[in-house]
Amino acid sequence: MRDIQGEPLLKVTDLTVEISTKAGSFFPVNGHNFSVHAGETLGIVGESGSGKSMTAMSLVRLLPKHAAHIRSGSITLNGRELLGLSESEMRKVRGSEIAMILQDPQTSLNPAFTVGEQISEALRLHNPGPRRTLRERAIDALRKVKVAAPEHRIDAYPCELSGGMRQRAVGAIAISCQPKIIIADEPTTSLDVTVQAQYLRLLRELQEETGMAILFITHDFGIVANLCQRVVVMYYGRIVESGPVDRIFANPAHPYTEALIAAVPKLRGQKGRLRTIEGQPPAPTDVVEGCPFAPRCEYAESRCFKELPPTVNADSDGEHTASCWRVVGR
Amino acid sequence: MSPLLAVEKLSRNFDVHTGLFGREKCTVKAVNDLNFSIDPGETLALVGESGCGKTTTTRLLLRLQTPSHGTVRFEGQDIHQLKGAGLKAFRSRVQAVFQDPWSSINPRVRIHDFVAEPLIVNQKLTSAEVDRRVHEALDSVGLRPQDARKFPHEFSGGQRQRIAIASAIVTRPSLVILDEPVSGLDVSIRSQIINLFKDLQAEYGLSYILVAHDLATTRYLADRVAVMYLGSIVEYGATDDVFDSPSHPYTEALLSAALSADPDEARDEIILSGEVPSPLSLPAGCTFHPRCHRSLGGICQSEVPALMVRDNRSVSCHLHANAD
Repeated sequence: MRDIQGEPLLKVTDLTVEISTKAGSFFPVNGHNFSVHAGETLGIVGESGSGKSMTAMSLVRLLPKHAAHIRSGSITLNGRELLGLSESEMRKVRGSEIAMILQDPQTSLNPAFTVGEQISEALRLHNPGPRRTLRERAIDALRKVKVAAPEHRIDAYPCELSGGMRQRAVGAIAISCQPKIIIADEPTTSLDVTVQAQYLRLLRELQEETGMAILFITHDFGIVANLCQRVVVMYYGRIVESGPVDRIFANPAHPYTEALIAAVPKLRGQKGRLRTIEGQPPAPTDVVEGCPFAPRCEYAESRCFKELPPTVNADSDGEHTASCWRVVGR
Repeated sequence: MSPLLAVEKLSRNFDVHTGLFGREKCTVKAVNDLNFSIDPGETLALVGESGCGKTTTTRLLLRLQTPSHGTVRFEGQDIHQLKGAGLKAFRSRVQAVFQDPWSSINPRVRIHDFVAEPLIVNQKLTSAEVDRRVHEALDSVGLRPQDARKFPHEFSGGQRQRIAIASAIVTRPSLVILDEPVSGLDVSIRSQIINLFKDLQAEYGLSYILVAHDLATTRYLADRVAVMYLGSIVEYGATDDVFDSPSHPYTEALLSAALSADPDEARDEIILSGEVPSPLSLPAGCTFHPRCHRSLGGICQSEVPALMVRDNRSVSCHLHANAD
């Protein structure tokens, strides 16, 4: 494993996002604390509605205007506070320092422009140069994401490319300005499994080459196990557990993480009956008292329904934390 | 025991017009020479990536499409020859559950009416009998009788999939076709539905045809598995055998690409080059050869490998033709 000592590249402290509606406010991102180091891959796992994508959008300050806003907290990139930046300063950060790869390449590429034009657009905005070199730099970016015959593909429209090729083109746009961190929001969900394997290997190789950090948002524990060094587990807008991947898989501290890992069908080993988590997660708009997982938790006690558990260390070195009364009582 | 469903030499071609003004005509072999059978109470999985012909196969089995060649026999009868009462009986004996519970349920009808529909269409029953059967079906998928009066939007994704399953089992079918039944669901809900399928199978002796791309789910549900690539079955056998020792290079790659949720599990990473070719222009010889990591060269490019059958397992690959 890579050295992840020293100051983190991205540090999120006590981040809370509020959505105000007529029915009241709710918090899709509630008191998040996490950090990512250069060269590291942090996984964010959770089910739909747990606030994964809201977290990603708040990091680049692209939350839907009027509907949601960052209520409190701090996001620092290389020690610089992002929340205090003006909109024009933030535009410089997006794309050049923080890049994003979204789930569906079909919708993140503009069908009316060639792949080359879309890569050059990012380059032109962040480090302009003569048109000829822009094209060469765009070809270079395509070559880096292992697109065959980049000199020809650069003039292709998105509809002329296959799904995997399109997602590579999105990757080329993301890495074109050498960002320090890439936020990948379920980038392989729309790809076939063998193409997903290619794409994950590509991300790993790019990371080794450039030393960039990756924030990988997914619902798939298989990807976390294979790609990430550390993981953050989310439930109902809260981080319920975070720590190194190998430790969390070997020794999950939060009952939700434990049940979620046990509920995934395995390719090898025991078949039998799958463990299930009864009921369903609360909707983000639901008002929940106490621990949000308590109604589905097999270990829940009366205290769990009344008081929200604090986030505490699950291990002596402070790397592995969880928010559960069982861990508090240990 | 005679098989419940037997598929012989099943093929389906589509004519496609391409080129300027659609003047050029070519044929897509969506499904090519399929052979398989299912016994009562058994689960067969069809696995493969997009474009491998899984969906066309299920449509042929449900008689939503007519085959170009070959036959589908259900309880001994060719389903594409059925008419009148025989066809109605077939429709209530074979049902389907689809991937997306948000689009497979009519949002404007109450749950009771949605679940009852296959009964009303295919069987003559009194309304009291229909009510009884609907409640029984809702009960066996873990929903309450009072849910019958509600509308679909009042349910979550997992519950909607349960409603779709209730509607599929209400006619007491012997075969249910499951087309990616859990891929639209969250992880914690997915395992509930997988267990539900197993319970229903044990209770009613159902046979399933499972169409899936997730190999781990397949392993939990299926007794036998058919791996498909570009319209053909490349490997067919008992699930445990195929997963423990895959014979076809494509099966090998598919298994290696399926990420296991266990960081300690050692796996050999086989990364295929390229993507699935367009079914409009199938590669000559073995259709898998341009991506194959074990290609033998010449013979793979020129000759279609024959299906080798050994110990209830069949593989279509030149590697295994030579091994004998």
